[in-house]
Amino acid sequence: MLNVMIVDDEPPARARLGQVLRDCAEQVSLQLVGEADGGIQGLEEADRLHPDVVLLDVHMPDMNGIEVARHLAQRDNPPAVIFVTAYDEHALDAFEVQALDYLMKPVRAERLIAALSRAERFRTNEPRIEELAKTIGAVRSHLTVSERGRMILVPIDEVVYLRAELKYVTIKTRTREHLTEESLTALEAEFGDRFVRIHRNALVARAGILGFQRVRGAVDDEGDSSEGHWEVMLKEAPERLSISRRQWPTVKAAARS
Amino acid sequence: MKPPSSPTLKGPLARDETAVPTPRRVIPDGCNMGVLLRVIGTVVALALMAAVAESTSFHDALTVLLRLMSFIAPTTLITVMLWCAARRTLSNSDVSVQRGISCLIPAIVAVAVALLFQIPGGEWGAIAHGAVGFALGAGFQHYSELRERAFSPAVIEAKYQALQSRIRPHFLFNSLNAVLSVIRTEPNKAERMLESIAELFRAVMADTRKLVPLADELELCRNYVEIEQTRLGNRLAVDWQIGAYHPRAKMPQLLLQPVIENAIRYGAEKTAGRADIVVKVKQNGFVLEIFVSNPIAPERPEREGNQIGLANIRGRLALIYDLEAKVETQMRRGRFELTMTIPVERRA
Repeated sequence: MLNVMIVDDEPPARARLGQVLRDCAEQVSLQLVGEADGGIQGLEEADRLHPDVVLLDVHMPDMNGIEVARHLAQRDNPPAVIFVTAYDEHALDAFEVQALDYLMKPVRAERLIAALSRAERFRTNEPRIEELAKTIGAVRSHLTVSERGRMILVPIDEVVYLRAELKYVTIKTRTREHLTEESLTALEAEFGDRFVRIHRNALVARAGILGFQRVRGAVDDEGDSSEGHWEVMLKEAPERLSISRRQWPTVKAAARS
Repeated sequence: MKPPSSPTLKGPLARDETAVPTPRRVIPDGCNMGVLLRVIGTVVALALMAAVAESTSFHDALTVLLRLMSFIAPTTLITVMLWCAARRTLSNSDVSVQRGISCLIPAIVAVAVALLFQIPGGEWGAIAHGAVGFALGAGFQHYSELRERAFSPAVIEAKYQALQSRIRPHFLFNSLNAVLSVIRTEPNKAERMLESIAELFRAVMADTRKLVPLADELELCRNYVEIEQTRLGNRLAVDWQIGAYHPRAKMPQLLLQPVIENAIRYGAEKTAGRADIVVKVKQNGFVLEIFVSNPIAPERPEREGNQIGLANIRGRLALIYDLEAKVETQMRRGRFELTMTIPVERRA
């Protein structure tokens, strides 16, 4: 028995997929366990219901299907994902390249049955989904962090800065801190528009920069002075982060533009 | 609905030219004021340059210019008049014959005027003037042929085709999907939706230069919104504020619909939560004022898409009304606002 879940923002589209699933039930042993009207709700429902297969719309306002799939793929024992889309030439090419299954709206029962019977094969598809996201240049709107066995979504809008510390990267938001195993370099590559690198170990949200302050160099006992450096002041956090001398011109240019 | 003639349209499309192949006329149109002004401007500029180059003082330059103009003015005017006559009589001749004649007219006129005025230099002077006339004639003929080609009906038609309003494939498939979703449970609703879709496609496939009654365009837009409403449910709310307008007021077909489509696309499809879209239409004297506003997702104002749709609408308005229509947009309090004013067409 396959447990199937539908994620689509348009009510008629969910209704239609539900009908077709019921038609398929005569040939494939399955049941519809849940529906969600958006990407974020879809992730919550998937954590609650543990479906075997998620039928995932690609275009949704709160979080698109590709990002939902990326977050789902980080779960233990992730569900198989079948993308459903009305029309999107570029993305469709990308799905084909990554051999991910997708269905075109309106969905035919025969196609859905074929996809469901293949679904098992797409259970561990994380690398392919990551490749797909890279091919179409998708940028996530949320970061997934695991905390005490729970998966939490951190909206990228709320991130003030990202700082690498030993094995992990600290994600600092207005209200709290999280840890992630993603690398600072990969995060910079994905969110380069939003963050600026101020130091080998830190990225700061461009929108969250309040200003810069010069820190005088200290003079030690022998009269040698170490050179001064700049620090960034943040709108949403009291701490100040050092800007490395190497990054200062880049940061300055970014602040001007 | 009878096909409208277009006497009140102002842009290049307004020209009463059809797709029927017309004989090619490549002799510059001497009766056209624009052509006349360009010719006079060019020769005066050349005379001025020659006068300055030849002169030794400002006063001298004026004297030389006056002398040159006394020859140039009659030559130019006669040439332009002959071009005008030749263009009309020789329109069926071979294109290369027409080109040759365009060059020969100024050459012969120049020689004749030179002989008549007894230009110093005798025969040599007359031949030299003829040669200059020939060269200038050739240059101007070439320029005006290129210019006419740029504004030919075929080119305008092609531009128009490119700007013709299109329904997004995304919309088509999503709507068909929505119809399928209700076909078993609410067959009546499915019927109505298919009728609306058919009407929309009839309009899209028609020539959108066609002027239709304003009421028809509004009806089409309401049908369109109804389809979107089925898909988006309570995420979409459209506030129609339709003011008074002349019952015979007309507007180009499918001009308002793409504006509303844009608003729904960026206002409702891409934003979670409810999207209130405002559509205001009212007639103000001889202009029709259209105002559409939609909320826009704050974190990613994807304005480019909006701009592409807008560029298309602007292009169409420029072709139909030239400078008499305008489109203005602005972002205000998180909403994208578009104001469009077009002249009202009121022919029966």
